[in-house]
Amino acid sequence: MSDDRVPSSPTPRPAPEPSDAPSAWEDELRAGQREAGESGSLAPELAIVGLLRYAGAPPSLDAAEVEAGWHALDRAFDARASVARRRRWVVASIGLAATLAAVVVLRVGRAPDPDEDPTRAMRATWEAQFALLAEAATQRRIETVEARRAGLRRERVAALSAVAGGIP
Amino acid sequence: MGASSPSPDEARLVARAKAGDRAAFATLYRTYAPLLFAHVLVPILGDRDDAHDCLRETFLAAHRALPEYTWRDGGIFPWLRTLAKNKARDHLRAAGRRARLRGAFAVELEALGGKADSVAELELQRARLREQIEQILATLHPRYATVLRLRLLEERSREECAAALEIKVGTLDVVLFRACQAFRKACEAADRTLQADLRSVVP
Repeated sequence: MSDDRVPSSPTPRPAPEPSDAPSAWEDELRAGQREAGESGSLAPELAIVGLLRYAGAPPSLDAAEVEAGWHALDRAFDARASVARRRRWVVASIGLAATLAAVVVLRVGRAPDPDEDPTRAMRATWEAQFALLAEAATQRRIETVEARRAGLRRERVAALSAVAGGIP
Repeated sequence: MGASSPSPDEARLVARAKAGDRAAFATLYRTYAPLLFAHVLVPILGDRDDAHDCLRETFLAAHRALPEYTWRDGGIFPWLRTLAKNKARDHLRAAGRRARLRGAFAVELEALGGKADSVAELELQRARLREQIEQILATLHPRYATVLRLRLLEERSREECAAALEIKVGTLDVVLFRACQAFRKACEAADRTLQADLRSVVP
């Protein structure tokens, strides 16, 4: 071929080993392009390199790479499941709180219905107990007052007897 | 290649994976990850590291979308392949033109090997590709054909190739560069359009 120009003094450089790194092939093609006195994008030539290398031996994942990939995915699924669980908890908690708030608002906002008042029975019990206690307390108070009056009377009589000097 | 066609058990496997069986999904991953990596992602991206990233993203998306997946006779591979192409497309959009410099060759692969929509067609695609490449190499200058065969198809070292061609290693770079150019021109002369337009390959 006429375009197969051979440079008079090729620039020596370390030879890259066959590698999957595209940059190594780009370097190799770039060196050839430079020696051929050309410049510009190497994308078309790199595509041919990729195509022919694929035709020779398609890139492969070895067993260790497959397993490492799966374990990374497995961990990602676990993390995602954990996030989803937390999110469900948050949503459920918010829902429960909203429901309770709605119940409170409805009950507070509604006119009181004596028939539906759950404290009514308790209030009646307390009133009955208070009535009993009040009666007993009043009785104790009367007795106390009477006892104190009697005591005072005895003290006054004794005092007057002492002043009169035995006058009957 | 791992699988050649959907096995009779694949539908059951997919159903189990859909129901949340992690082991079933692991089996799908071990079966199809190597195929997607080699025949879909590396050709589109031209880079193993990027292909690894996209492979992971593909299966994360598959795991998320599997409950909505509907089984088809062609098996789950076409669906996974579409997911992988979408992930590769997203990656290319993010990477811009840099990706094209990395040696992506999906366009060239389809131009010479045809499309492969199923696992079975991947084998056919590669066979067609090898056949087309041999035909094109036969039209090239023997020196170019030899350097392409030794250096790229057989992955021989630069020193071995230089020795086989009886040239210096530095000269080999020029010969390889010219050979790649000649190969592309021969493809175009044979009316096999190698338009560097990923949009025709990536949906």
